[in-house]
Amino acid sequence: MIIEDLLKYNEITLINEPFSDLKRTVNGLYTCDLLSHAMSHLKPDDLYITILSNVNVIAVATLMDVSAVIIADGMEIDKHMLEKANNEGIALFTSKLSAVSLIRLINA
Amino acid sequence: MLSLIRQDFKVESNDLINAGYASLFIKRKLKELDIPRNIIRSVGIATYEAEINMAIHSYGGTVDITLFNNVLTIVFKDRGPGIPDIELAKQKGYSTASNFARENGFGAGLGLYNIEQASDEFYLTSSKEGTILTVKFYFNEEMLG
Repeated sequence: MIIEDLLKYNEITLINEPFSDLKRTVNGLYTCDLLSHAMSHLKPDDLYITILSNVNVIAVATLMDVSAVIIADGMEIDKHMLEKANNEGIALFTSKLSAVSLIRLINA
Repeated sequence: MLSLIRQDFKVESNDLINAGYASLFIKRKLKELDIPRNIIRSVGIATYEAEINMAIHSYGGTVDITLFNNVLTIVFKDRGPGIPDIELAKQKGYSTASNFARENGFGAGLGLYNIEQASDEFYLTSSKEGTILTVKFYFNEEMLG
């Protein structure tokens, strides 16, 4: 899968448009809302799904070489998070769906 | 032999917006030097966990990064209040994080454990005056290409 493939879902919205690297590979899915735990389990090119909506999610995503982040359950994103996602080149999506529903949707 | 990198950063208490600058800096620098991805990952984990620890548990402090002669040394030094029981603090799952830290996704109690696992050398001393954490990573000639 590549990041561009996520754009076809109505339930998932890309927030930092236009995003420069839509052809970037997405290799796996991971979800966890404890950042230290996520740091020891995230793999490069993962799609990281979380309800945490703060700038530290982007810091962790960048350090772990994640391809994209989806903020689930309709959580709102603040301007610091968006700015950091733009600066670090992380594709940032939001969705009203839960993490479980997102995984089912993407894996279907 | 790797060229010298020498940089320091400040970490303010409870400033979660800016904590992480040192980790992102060293990640970028190591990527420029073509250090293997898995090594960069370990350095990133150790540095970030330590920066966040400083932000959420201390009165603030500094992060000193030195890369010289194939050794990356990062020293985290804060102004207190210190760790009363280091062995307890190192236990997986043990956390004294505030509600503020937990609301932001921290406080899993894995910080010191992750740092020690990720680094080649790990030294931690603490008193009421402050805590000093030193981590080292060794790069060998093959990594330099």
